[in-house]
Amino acid sequence: MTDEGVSTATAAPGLDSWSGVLHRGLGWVGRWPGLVAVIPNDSAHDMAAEQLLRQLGAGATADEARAAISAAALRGELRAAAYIAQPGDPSTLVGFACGVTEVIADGQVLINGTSPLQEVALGTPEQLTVRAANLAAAARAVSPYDLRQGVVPGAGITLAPVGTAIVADPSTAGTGSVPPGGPVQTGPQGPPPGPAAQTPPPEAPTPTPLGPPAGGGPNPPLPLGPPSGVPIQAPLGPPAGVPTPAPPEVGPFVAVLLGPAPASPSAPAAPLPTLNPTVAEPPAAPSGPLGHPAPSHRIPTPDLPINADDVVVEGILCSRHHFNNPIASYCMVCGISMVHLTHNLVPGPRPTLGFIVFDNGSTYGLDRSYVVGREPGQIGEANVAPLAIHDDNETLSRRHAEIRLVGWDVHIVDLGSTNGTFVWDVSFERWNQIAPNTPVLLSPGDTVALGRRTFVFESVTRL
Amino acid sequence: MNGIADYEFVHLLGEGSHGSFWLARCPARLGRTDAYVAVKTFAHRADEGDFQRLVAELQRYVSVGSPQLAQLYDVGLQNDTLYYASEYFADGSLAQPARPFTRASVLAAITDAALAAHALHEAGIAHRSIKPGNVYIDGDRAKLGDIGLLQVLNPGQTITGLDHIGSIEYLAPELIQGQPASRATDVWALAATMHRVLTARSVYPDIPQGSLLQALRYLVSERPVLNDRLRDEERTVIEQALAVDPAARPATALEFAQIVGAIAQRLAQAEPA
Repeated sequence: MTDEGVSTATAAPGLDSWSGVLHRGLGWVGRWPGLVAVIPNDSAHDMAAEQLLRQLGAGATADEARAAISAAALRGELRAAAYIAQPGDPSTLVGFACGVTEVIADGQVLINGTSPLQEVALGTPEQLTVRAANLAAAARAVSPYDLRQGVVPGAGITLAPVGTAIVADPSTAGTGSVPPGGPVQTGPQGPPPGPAAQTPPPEAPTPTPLGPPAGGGPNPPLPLGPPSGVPIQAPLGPPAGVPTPAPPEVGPFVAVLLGPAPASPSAPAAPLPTLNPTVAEPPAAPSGPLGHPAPSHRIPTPDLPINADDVVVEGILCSRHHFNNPIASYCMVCGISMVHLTHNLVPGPRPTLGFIVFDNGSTYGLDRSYVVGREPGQIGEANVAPLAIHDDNETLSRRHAEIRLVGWDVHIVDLGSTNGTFVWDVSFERWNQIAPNTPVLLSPGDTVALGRRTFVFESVTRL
Repeated sequence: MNGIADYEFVHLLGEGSHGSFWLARCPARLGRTDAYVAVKTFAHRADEGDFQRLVAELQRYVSVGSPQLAQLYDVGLQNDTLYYASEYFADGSLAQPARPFTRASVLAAITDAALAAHALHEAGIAHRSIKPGNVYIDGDRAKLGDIGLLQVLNPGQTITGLDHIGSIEYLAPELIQGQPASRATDVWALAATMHRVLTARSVYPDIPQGSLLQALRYLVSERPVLNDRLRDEERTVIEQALAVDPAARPATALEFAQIVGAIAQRLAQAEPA
């Protein structure tokens, strides 16, 4: 890391002369001459992964292991696995990742589970990491063990020329140094199809990069499995890591002691309202002259309480007076059938329209519109919130797209993003890029790709 | 991670919904006699604004001053990592108690957690993250800790990520739909916690495993199924607190605490000491 002259020189002899420091975590890491592979824990429950591990344990060669992993991934049998291989010439390195895994070269994620299922040239990096992508920073701390050959428990491995210091969490180090804006083509080596460069390609017959929407396609965009997936890694304080346990140094920090009875700074807050959160509660209606909020919003009579900030829509009431989308057959609150009701439209505050679930599991309720992007900043409008999402590949624009609620509908609007916004077309099994600044109506279950991130829209209207 | 600020970590206690918990030595700066504290570090990359909001939120929490709430000592920011320190409970939580627990003491612990939630509600705060792992055992009583702070760091987000799939049963269905946290959502979580601890089963026994999306779909369309291991009076209160319509649940956590507390007392009298 430190001395470039030395490391580039050592890069030539190739993978096998590098030390391989394990990352702690659940799963398996294997190393053979010319190959390192990682199979994260949740995959180990898969039949294919189990078979593979057995095969590897039985002393497979590097080429066999590599072929077995990529074949199982292409057949869609393997939930997650990744490897770095040196197919021939020591200076040629390739990487492969499927599922919740990533390959990182010099701090930049070059391949991850959303990349096309193919080997990608890695150039001549000075440090390489292949690991499970969904581990919290703490879980992926680098262990002091150097794996040269064999299969051992672990969630990843970082390779660097012997004697080089290893950065505990390479991606943290890397993303910090990437210039903001623009695709990530600054890397010294530039692997042929820079994974971040072209986002969802319009049509690739077999493996679409982001996969079709969840629900049975070959590689669903939602990573599966329980392990804690905190997408953003906390940077490790003192370089947690390699053998030297330096005495803990206290770096600069700010802190506030929380006394048992601080002179309560602000006026005591009002208690939470009792009863009925189905109607967005007013903390205190600014215009309300008497300002006692308590009993005003109980079971709504035909007149629903409406606050200044509410978006008003016309809907129907179920027999228990819950406010619903007029097209619903069952109440979204209590589930009662509304089929036989006379559909009198009444105005009311718009309830939540559903939720969106991102590929990493983050879920947001659609009680408001969102401007989604890398750094959406503050939004001036009421009922529109910024939604900052993280993207290792820097494929997102600052303000990439808006999820806009219009009446009872949810629209997606591309805000002129660099890499585009795509909606998965179920019947043709392809990604359709939507025109910038043109609202597109989303149907329940639609999958949307923003750069390399995807989310699914789920409605709560019960038809 | 070896530590943060002036805390020296002893070991990892667990991964929470949006960060990690560590056992740490208590620095002299805190002026406490505790040998150890629990430190939560947040995975969220934070800035000064996040820190200020977190301080304000935790100060509100501390000023509630309920004896059933876990005490908070310190909140800080180092580089871009937020942390806070709170008292450490060597006896563990209802999720991982360090010693065996009678049914009566489980119910007493749930009662304490409900009282703590009620104190928060009266101060205008929803806990948002009640689950067995956040109900800590303290002698023969319990304390509620680990208040949900997601909304402070990421408004609108209802679920942090994949790690949440394990605690999805504690989320009231209206929360997933983006409704605000309320007394009623905390009451749901208390009942789901009680069910889990008494029966070792989820209130959604058939929830699809593996995919969060499938689980969420299931959750907004299906009803909880209560386990046979519940006694009648336990079943009645849990059933009521898990009503889909929030208005049909006990109106306050205090009401829930009183019902559960009465059950606990009857049981304690029946159980040999």
